Amino acid sequence: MSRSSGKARHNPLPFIGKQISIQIQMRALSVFSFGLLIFQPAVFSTVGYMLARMAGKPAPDLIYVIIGGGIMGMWSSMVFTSFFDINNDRRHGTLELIVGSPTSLTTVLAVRTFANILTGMVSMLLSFVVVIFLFKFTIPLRNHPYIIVSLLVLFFGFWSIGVFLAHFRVASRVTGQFINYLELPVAILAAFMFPFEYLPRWITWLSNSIPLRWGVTGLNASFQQELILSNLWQDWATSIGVSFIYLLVTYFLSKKVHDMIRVTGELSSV
Amino acid sequence: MKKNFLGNIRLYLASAWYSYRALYAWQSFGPYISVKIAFPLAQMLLFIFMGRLAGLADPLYIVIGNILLLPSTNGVMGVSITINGERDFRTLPYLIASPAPRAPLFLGRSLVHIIDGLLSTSWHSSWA
Repeated sequence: MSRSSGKARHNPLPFIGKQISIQIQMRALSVFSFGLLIFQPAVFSTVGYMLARMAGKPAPDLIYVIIGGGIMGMWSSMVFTSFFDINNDRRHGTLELIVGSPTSLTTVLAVRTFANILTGMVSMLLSFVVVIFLFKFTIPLRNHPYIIVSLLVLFFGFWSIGVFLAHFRVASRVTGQFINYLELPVAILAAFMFPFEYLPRWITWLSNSIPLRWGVTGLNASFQQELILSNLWQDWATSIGVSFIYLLVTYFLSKKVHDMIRVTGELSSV
Repeated sequence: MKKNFLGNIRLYLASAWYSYRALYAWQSFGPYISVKIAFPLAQMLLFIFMGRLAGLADPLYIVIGNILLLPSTNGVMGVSITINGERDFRTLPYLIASPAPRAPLFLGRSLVHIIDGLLSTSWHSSWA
């Protein structure tokens, strides 16, 4: 509060910095996060490698098996942390304090999810390190900008879904029990570790409603020697468009949470 | 002696049943379905698609491997999550400090998961 003007000055940066720092510290000190970020994607990639060896190939498809494993690690980490953070808040009684604090619930969850995605990048970076240094995979120089844009689009997709899931968990208590419906089924629907064309045609409408499906397709396309830019632009634009739909739904969920509190008159109704 | 023995059996079965029900939050059937059917099926499908990418024509090896994974997942995860739940809800110290004998209490927490693992395996085998 400024004494001279009497106007409240809100600088969100200290809050954002602190929240990111706390989230990263919590993840860094958690064995569960280590399992999600490093161990589980490594197991999936190793299975892919073994399957390729069984089929008589000397090396697996690096983009799908190794980079796909990194995306899988990011996804698992984000989906579990988005849910478990709210679970822990609810269990420790801090969810009411967050909802009732002057900083909006959406801001808190958005920054948290962003921090979780930053942590999830460990998995993605490791997959790049393995592909480039262990398997000597060379990425043509002209593809670099497209890969970076594809990664940014994919991260935005992750963030929008993460914020949506966190709000969904606050709005509904039973959703946490259905986490197993999300982790692997979404990984399959978004085709993290295999070409999207393998999915049966009747399920593609569901895949298309997930921004990650478009983000992953764009990322895979941006690694190809012969880039088809029109397709790439279409993937990016669709991914961003679908992400915004999730953010719009998130906005309504946030309003629903606040309405719930107003109607019941109790913070503990969340 | 006989009364004591029957008491331990009762304790064993009751603790097995309640810990199992608590694990899946059995107020509704959804979580159980998600753990027992949705997750294993999704895992199997993911590996089948990965096998197809690798060039494996026959997914039988992947299907059998995934089915064999089920009882171990039940045994290891079910029991460890149950005990972890006791710690989270701070009931573990009370459990340890209670006069009830520990062997039936803790063995009971594993019994149902073993039976359940076998049932899951046979269910998924018939489905496959």
